Amino acid sequence: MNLENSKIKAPFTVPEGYFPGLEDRLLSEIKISALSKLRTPAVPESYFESLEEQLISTARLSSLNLRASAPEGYFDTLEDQILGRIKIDGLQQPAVEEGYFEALEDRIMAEVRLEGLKQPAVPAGYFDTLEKDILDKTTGTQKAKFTLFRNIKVLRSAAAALIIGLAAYFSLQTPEPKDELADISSAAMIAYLAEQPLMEEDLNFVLDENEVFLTSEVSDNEITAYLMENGINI
Amino acid sequence: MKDEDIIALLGNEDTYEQAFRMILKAYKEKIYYHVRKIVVDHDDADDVTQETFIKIWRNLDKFRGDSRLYTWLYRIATNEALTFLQKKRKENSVSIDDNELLVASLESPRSDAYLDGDEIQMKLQKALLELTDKQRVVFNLKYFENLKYEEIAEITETSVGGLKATYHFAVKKIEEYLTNH
Repeated sequence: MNLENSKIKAPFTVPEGYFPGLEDRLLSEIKISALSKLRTPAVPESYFESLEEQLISTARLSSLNLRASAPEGYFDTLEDQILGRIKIDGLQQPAVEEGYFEALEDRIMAEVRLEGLKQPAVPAGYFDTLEKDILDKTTGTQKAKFTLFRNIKVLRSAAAALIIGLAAYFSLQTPEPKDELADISSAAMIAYLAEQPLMEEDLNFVLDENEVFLTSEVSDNEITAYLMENGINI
Repeated sequence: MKDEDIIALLGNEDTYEQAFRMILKAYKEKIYYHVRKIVVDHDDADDVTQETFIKIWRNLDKFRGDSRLYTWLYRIATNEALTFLQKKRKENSVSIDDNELLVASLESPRSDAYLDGDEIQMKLQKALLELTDKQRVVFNLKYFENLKYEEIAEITETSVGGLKATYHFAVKKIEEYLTNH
């Protein structure tokens, strides 16, 4: 069917009297929103400067009001109640031997000395050079080497991609492969991969890379047809 | 009433309201139906149409005449409708490119009251729901509103080339649907 030759209308309708009503409703809504804009409350000059003080005064007054609202006779008994509780707390404290606190300091110091003896000995001047040693290791040239081996997964993927890419390249009989990509690096990579078997995720990575390589020669028309067949939107 | 007359009134803040009333009178139906074709349900279209005009009112002072008035209005309406749809899908935990809710709206008995089309018209609407939001907007503006690609480009803020491809794919997809259903 040719859609563009047959002008089909949209089937949508509206309730009776919808559009005249819509206009009125919209105008009312807009008037309300305009009014709310105008209703930004005006405040006396320097209102906000004195607001903080006013609020603090109000808070003080309200706290006074709270005090006035305490039950009758409350403050008369409060002192006794507090003192009573302190006495109970004192009773609850565990009793200690006479002279305990005087001897406590000496015992703690003795323990600290013992702990000090337990610490492993370090060479003389060890801590003097420790900072420099660490800085040399972390900021020196060794860092790059360390990072390279930490990214071993990327290295493996790259190696695998290179090998399968080369295999695809030769299988398509592309003339004159470039010398610089030939045997030397492949042999090294094969030896490496023999030690490190490929995981499934590595193969996925390789196949994605390879697919891009293989489709690089497909024409625009073929891509368009492919997209249409697969319902991919542009 | 021409857009030029409205734009002339927009030059003066005192005549903003008059300009807005003219916009409302001239475009309320067009904007409603444009929105309705995107959100399908009448009540949703009503909400979005109102939001659109409120936004138009609030932004009247920002219309500088760089684009044509009606493309500016349609752009606001399109954005409001698409934002509404995204929000509705999110609220209903539906994927962002899923038109399941719109199909349900089209087929619900409540919608029947405000649908008055023959079989092919209904079929076309169902076919349209096979498209993405952007494809539907482009198709609607080109097929139903007869706008030029340049005008649609102003509304959707995309390139004319991209729009042509989008429309082409949309038409193919709809024709395929209509042939197979």
